[in-house]
Amino acid sequence: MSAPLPPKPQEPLLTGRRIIALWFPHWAAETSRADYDVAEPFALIDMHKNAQRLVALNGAAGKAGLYPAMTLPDARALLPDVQTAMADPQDAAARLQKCAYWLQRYTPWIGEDTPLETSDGLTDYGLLLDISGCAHLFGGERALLEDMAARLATYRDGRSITLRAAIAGSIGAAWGLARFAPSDLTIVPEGQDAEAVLPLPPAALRLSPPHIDLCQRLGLDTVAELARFPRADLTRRFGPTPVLRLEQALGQAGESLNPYLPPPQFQAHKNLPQGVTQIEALAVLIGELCAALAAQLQQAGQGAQRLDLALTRSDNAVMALSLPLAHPSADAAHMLRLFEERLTRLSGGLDAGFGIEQLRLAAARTAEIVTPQEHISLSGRLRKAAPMAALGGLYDRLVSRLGANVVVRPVPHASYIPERAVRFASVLEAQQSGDDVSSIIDPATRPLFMLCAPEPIEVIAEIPEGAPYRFRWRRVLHEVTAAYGPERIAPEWWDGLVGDRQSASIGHNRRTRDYYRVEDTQGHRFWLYRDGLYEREKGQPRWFMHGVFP
Amino acid sequence: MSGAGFAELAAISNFSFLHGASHPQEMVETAAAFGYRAIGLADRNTLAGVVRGHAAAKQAGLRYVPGARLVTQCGFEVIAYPRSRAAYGALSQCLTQANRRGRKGECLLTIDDVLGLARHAALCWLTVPPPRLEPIFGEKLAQLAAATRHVYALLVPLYGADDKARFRDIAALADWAGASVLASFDPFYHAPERRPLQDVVACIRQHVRLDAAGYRLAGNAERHMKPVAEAQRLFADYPQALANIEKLLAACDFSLDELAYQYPEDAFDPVLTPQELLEKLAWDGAHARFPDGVPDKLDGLIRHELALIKDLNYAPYFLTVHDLVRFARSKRILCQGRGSAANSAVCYCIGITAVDPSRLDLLFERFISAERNEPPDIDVDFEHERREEIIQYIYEKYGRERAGIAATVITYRSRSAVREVAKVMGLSGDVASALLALNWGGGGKPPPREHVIEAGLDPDTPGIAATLALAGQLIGFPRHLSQHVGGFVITNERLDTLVPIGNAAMDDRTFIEWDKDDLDALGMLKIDVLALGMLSAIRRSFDLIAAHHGKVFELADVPPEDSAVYDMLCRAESIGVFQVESRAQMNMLPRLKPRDFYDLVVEVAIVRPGPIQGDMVHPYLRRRNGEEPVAFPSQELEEVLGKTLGVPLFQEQAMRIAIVAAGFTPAEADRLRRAMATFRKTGIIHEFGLRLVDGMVARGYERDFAERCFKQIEGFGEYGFPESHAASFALLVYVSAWLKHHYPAAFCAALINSQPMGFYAPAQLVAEAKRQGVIALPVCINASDAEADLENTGETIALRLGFNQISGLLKADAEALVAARHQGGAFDSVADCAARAAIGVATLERLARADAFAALGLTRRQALWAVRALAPESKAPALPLFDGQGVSPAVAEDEHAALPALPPGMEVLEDYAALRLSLKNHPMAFLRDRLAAQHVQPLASLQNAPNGKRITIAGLVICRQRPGSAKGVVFLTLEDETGTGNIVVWPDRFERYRRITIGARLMRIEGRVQRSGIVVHVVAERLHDISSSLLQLTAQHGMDSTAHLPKVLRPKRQTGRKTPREMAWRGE
Repeated sequence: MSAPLPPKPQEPLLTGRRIIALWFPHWAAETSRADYDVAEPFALIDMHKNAQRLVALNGAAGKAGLYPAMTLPDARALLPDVQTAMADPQDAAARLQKCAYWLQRYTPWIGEDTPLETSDGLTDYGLLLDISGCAHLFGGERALLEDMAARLATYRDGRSITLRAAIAGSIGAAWGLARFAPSDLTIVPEGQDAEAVLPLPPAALRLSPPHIDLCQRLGLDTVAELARFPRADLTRRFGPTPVLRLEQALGQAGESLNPYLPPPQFQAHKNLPQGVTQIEALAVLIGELCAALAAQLQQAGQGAQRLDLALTRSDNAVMALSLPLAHPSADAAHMLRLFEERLTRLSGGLDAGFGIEQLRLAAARTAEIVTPQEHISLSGRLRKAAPMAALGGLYDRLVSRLGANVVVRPVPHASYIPERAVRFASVLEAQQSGDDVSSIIDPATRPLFMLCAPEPIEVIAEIPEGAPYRFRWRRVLHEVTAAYGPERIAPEWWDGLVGDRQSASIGHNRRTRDYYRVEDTQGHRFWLYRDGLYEREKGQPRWFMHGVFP
Repeated sequence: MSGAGFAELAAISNFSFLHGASHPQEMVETAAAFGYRAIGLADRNTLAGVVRGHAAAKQAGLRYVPGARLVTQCGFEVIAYPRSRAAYGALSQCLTQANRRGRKGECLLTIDDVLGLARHAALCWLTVPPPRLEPIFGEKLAQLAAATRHVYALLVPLYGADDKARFRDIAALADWAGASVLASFDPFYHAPERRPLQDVVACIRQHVRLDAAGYRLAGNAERHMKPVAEAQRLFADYPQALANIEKLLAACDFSLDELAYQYPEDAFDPVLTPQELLEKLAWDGAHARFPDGVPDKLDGLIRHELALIKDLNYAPYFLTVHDLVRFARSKRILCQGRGSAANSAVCYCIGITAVDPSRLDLLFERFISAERNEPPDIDVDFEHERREEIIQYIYEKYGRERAGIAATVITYRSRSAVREVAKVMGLSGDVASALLALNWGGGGKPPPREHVIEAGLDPDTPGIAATLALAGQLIGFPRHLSQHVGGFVITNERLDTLVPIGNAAMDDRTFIEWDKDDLDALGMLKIDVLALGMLSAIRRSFDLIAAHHGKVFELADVPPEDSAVYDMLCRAESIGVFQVESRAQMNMLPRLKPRDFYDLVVEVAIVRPGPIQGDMVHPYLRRRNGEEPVAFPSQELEEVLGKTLGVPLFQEQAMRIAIVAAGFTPAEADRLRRAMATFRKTGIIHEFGLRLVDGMVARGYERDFAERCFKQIEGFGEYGFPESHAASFALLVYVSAWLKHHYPAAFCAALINSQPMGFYAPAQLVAEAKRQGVIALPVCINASDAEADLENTGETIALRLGFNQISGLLKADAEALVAARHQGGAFDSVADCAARAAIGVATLERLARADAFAALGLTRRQALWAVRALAPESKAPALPLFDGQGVSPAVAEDEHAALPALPPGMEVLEDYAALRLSLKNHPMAFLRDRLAAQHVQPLASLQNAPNGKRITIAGLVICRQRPGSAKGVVFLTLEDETGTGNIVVWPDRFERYRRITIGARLMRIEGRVQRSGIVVHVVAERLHDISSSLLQLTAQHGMDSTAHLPKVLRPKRQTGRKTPREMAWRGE
């Protein structure tokens, strides 16, 4: 990581193309969201051909003798207390993408690493940066590289990212050197790519596993040995790609950098010659950005589902604000209002430092806006926005003011226990109707009004499971004239036992309930139950009132 | 009928896979305990559980009504009870048709099938109303009622919102449809405590977690059996529903006992009756085997057996087996019978077995007894590659209507049960895999607390405790039916009227729904048509000997009692020999010192869980070696144990002890044997154990002896090995040992060509042959055949490895090569080979890797270089390779490219990679100098090492065993260029060197020599992983430098020389 760079008396003039290849050998594990002790062996696992296997490790796990593609049982046999978590390749890729964004501080040209086919489907995490003409801004290539390594070391709070990197004149050379050069950070002087690459093993040429294997079988241990053969002979035996890779690494064939990610389709930005510090001024600027973005979105018939606002301070710090939207929106005023809500709440916390120099607003996720047929009225006036869209707007404002997990709505939930037959879902969750209830539970058997907490009542009923004759609720005595039931509902015995977060407290002292729908002499109808079965369950059964029918 | 009683007629068991949550026995026993008048067990679209229910009901003294719950594709559920044998047959046929329409395990039944069955056969019908009554149910009920009499709708107290209204509606619907109502609890489990398990199986079935299952589960725990009084209370308003139970019981008086089994009575002979024919065949055979006159003893045996067979009318059975054997002979397929009746004099005479019964002393009555009216049991082993021909012959001769393969009931074992329950309980992968690794006790008892804690889990966590408890209940539940390996049922009438037949996973294969125990319980004939790899190897040996040595042998022709063969076995040189090549057997051979055929019978039987658990091995050996006097526990046991020096070794002896010494009746002893064989009957076993031990003690035996006898019977449980089996196997032991001794090259070639089989890989087999002085020749493009063969070198007959030795080479390509060579002579270049044999580049690469072009003067690398020039990846102008115009000079020129030479060590590793063996050298030879510097002794030096000497050895780990019976001891077998060595790692050393013991491919071990007789072990004290030293042979770098090494050589941990990339992986 911190290997000293070879001494370089002077930086060459920046004339040719300069590429940095970064390789993160432990990316997935080191950036994993899992909570683990970084000093101890840790591995990410996945299911491969019906077996759990390791896909990524941290340094400690590697030192302990684990290796990627090892099966979990093998790993446990070696290291019984290795910490593990499920791998989430999409998340790891997203984090790499984030890192690529972050690396834009060095150069705008961040390249996607050539995806390598590996025989067992393991992912290799690396990035390519074209820093031609950029290095002098950071005090030369070595300084740039060291700055990058130092920042990456603290990139993720407390956990360092292991990095190997190389600077060379071609993508191929830099890629190979980052992975196979003797030191962690390598800088090849301009024009010396070939010399640097020749002693590397053929695997440094971004070859596929069968080709690497073929080189080994033929005894071609280095790039130099491979390069010694006429290209036509090699092409006949390896096909065109490896030969192209060889020429690219030696700087004999060109190669372009695939930009890592296309910039978001919809974005607007503003550069300010003088920093802005006041929130009010910012709000105006954000309003302009919203208008510009909304215009772009409307033209494409799209609505934003998430807005990302990035504020760059004059000292290069970036503040990011991300807003989820309940419904796709292309309404500038609505967007602005949401940001205003946020900014007001931030008022104490927004540290504009010496001023904000750049604002960048992007619609990070968009969806097509389905415009409903508007009503044509004879008066020639169009009606305003459809009610659902208006509700969506309200949701957005509430969420931006209160937080996403607080604004919820009830949805049906499949549980026989009446008070559990509903659950609350965030309004931002995709519209869903909840579980289908009506096919099992006849709505006519459930009261319209249910008490928040069942109330104890005194009941006279036949033992063991007869219907009530009379009962006293809230001091009033009711004579039962008709009763339907019992509807027997057993406790959810698995409550508190399922999943990894278990609690012993719930569910255990629950008892089976016998529900009755009863009618009294007044014609009032009630829903009450006996809690507990005679003989089969512990304790004396007790009675409760749970609801009233209208 | 008021107050008279109750019978449950809509029960299901766990043979309604993942619906029912109780065993058939539990349902029946509960019904009996409640005093039900009868129980009707009808599983979903199957009759698989009825025999078990039948047997359990018989034992409980309860009336049993067999039937099936038919569930149509459209969701209509109706229980059908046959009222006669014919109706039972029709039901079975109906299920067969529905089974045959679907894939394995599916039963595609339509409402028309049900109505058709109702019209044509006399059954009683119990419709199951759906949870919410819908008009369509009424319509179907009416259709059914129009089709037949005896149609009922079930009244089931579900404890829903309004059961009263539901009863009223059903009664009205039934009335309208012209049907009646019938009371039932429609139980899914026998007691309310099973509700959690029922929820779990429902979740397994529907692939959901418990907390997400919602309304897919039942709302309460009421689907269990209830006392009669409760039934009378709940159905007080519907006395007719209770009375109809009695009506139905009166109508359905069919019992499974009526399925009288008929042996196939094919016209074996136009004139003779089966018995006459069998007698004729037996005497003809006897005279053929003994041309100079049948010995008196045998003559007596034959007469005795024939008389018994006549009494029991078993002649057709023997003739059926004889017919299979005769067919196999006509196709030159080796076969041998074993099993209870196989080692009889009659079977010897009619050629079912080659074991001369007069060399043994087996009592025929022990296998066929008049008192237990049970069919004889003969298993026949055939060459494993040709068994299919026999199966096709059976189908052809009897037709699929009359022949079928028995089922095997696949039950949940600890692993599968834990896996499924953990999934349903939503445990994370980590916790689940830790639970999976736990060692379960027998009978579904959860693992002890210490083990759970040891695995890093808290046994008091409610979820874990619940998972273990539920998994424990699930263990032993049937999971699905599968095809038995070779158990055939052949009937005289149509098979599908006896039992439904279903599709197997394999195309064009079907099997019946009953397993061997079910068939046994009904007394049905079955023949096991089994596959045995050793028979294929013996056949191949005979063929090779005939072709290259000009001598023709059959099983019965092998000269008996050759003392040189026994000498070899006494030296434990048994690699490749049938049954006695395992490490345990190789230990036993020098101690037992077999000198005649019966010794081999003992040898085969003694290294088995039974005698080992019963601690009978050492007493036997002591007595045999004269270190302990031969004494019998009693006079009466002398007869039973005489042949085995007073120590019970065989299953039959243990059974005889139960009869003679503990006072069991033969039928009880047999039930004991069955109880052992069937999983999860710990209760019964325990009860028997008490009776056996107490019985023996009461008759004056020592308690210790009695307990050991019982332990032995327990050990026989799953791995029973009766004397008759041992005798049949012993013959193959002798024949294979004889071949190994007299024709080692042919035997080795035959074993290689019969792979996979046995304990050892070709590398060990070839090494063993070389030790015996056989010359082994490498795979060669111009000399090898598709398979290993013998080759006359002028001086000797050598072993020539075949193309089949090359991993991944297709047989068709190998044959194309050989054919092209025969047609146009030897190949002179790689391109010539490609052009004439018309084989693909991938195949040529495999040949190059295997160094098969060495005869053309090409090294591996040069050959590969030449092959790759033909690669389809090549974008160079098309080369005239396959147009028969010869080879372009450019290609021919290339063939001797200047490529770095492969170091000799690497040559050997490459040999292993391509061929799984090397004739050049052993990989260890290249490390010898370095090892010698570390005072490592060659393994061969163990032979002469004195007892107790400290020694350092090293070798490739070729075998790693941690037998369950050895209490955590690990046995390793190491191999180096000089031989093999046996290592014992005691548990404390194992814990200390866990990683190395499990992970290392190459080990250096310091330890102490332990010798007993000629058996030598090294007791490991320190272990070192030196796998990385193999990498030094490769002298290559790159991350995958070991990836192409054969698995046996690849270090599990990649250590040693590392590239920076590897180091970075490790964070160095």
